[in-house]
Amino acid sequence: MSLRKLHTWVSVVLIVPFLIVGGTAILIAHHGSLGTGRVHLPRFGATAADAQGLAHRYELRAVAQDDDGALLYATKYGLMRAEPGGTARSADLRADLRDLARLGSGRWLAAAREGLYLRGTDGTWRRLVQEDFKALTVQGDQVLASSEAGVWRIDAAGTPRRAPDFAAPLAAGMAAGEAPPYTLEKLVMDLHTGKAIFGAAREWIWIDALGGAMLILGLSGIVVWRRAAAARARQAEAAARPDPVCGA
Amino acid sequence: MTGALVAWLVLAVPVGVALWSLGAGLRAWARGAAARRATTGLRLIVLWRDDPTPDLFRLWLIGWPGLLVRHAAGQHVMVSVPMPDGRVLRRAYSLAGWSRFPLCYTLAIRKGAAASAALHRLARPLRRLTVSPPRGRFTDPDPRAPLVLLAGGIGITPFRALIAERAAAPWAAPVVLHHSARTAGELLWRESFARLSARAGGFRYRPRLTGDGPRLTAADVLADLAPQAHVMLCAGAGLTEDLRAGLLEAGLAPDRLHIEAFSLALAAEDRGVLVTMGEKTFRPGPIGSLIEALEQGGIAPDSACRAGECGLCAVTILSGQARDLRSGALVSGRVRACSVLPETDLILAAPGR
Repeated sequence: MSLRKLHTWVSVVLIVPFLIVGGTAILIAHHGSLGTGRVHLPRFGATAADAQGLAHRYELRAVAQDDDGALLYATKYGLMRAEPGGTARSADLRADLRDLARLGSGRWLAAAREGLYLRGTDGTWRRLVQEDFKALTVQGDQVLASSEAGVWRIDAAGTPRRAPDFAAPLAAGMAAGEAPPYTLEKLVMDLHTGKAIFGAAREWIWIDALGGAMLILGLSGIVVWRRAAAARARQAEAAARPDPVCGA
Repeated sequence: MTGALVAWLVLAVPVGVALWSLGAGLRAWARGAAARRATTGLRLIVLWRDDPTPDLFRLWLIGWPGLLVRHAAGQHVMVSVPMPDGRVLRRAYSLAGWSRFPLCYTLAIRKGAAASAALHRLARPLRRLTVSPPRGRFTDPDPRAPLVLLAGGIGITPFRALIAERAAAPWAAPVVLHHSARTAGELLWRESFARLSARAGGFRYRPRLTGDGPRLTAADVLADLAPQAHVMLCAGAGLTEDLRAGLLEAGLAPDRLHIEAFSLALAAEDRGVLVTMGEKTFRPGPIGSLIEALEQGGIAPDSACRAGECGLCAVTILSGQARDLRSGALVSGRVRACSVLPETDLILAAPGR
């Protein structure tokens, strides 16, 4: 088999996954602005048969129990609440949640990718800070909230303040050479995502360019191949057509 | 909503277009491959060969990779044989075996002259041969009707396939095989036919050695001829003509007699016709087909299979009529010279016109 044939047939066989990877890369890079997380696909929803994979389907991050005995579930798709003996239903907080914690005053805090949320006395949630929060830690009647940008201290009344006393030692540690190592794995990942070239904020350029190129090359390639195959088939059929004989 | 729209544009539409193109392209590719196989033939490998007699040899051909083209029992292939002088001759050989999903083609060939003799020399294990896909209409006319097979010598080859095909169909009607050969060595597959005859009630085997004994006659066959039976005949020209005449005379309906002839030419006889091609007019001597007449006049086109298959010898009859050797119909216009016999004076288009 020649190199050209190998190239052609590998491309033809893998064209569909090739296009899926290219298209989904673009959708993933812009999932926030496109709001793909808010587009519900009921046909693909979980069923009772998926019971064993419930935690996986919800992407459960934290659980807690309210004063009235209701269970709270912090999931990737928002907060779920289950009354005692009842079924879990979506609560009024749709965010990519990471953690739940309770202030000394009894009010709930939720750390999310979209920010830090506080539940009011009327049960509604409001955003205190807009940063990408990772985790919450209860300290006395306060809560420490860590985000990508630093650490926040939320007092019992629910007022957030930056806590530079937590961030400063980390910065000093980095200056002293204690920064987390930059591994080959991370370099590979940053090259793969484009972060190493365009930075985290602009990595979408890399993804869009390559995803778009995959779509254009894949689509044009399969169409060119189909046209060439059809032309070759027509030629071969014309050559194979027998002469009319015996008055036929 | 924007997410759904963009997902539709960058995912659903490209994948849909790709799937449609993939399907259409694969169908076109398959069509092209089939057409190319029909034109250039399959490249098959000689897996094995044996020589049951000095004049007969058998070849087992395999394809690489995968299954061979499926075929009906009784069909033949055209084998391209490179000759020492550089020409490539194509000869038709019946497939001497049948399977629903064939892994190999079996050929049984008489050494003879020209192409078959060259093939006898060159067809060694692992040698590649160019072989056409199976073709031909010498197939089982009605599996539910009794069948009488009349084979002369190497003419047994298509019948071995037909017997295998009927053996694979429990509902098929009985078969009687008359195999006539000069020597015991030429009664190919004698043991396997005898075993099948002893085991299977629907098959009877009647071998006949004619080296010192009488030839197979229509009278021998009539005893096995059930009212609705079809007769299939594959033998040399002399035996074929004797049996054909005898059976038709005995009342066998012509549409129940099926004859295979790889060379379509009849026994040569003087037709008393004038043949004109271009500037040349001549009266040929004894001929069995138009190609023989043109060869006598030194104006024959190239020919290879001489069985009406390859189309190399096509000529155009501008005036007069010839008889098609397969159908018996009178024809004119574009014909294959090996497949027709002049019935009247003929004017043929000059070569290249």
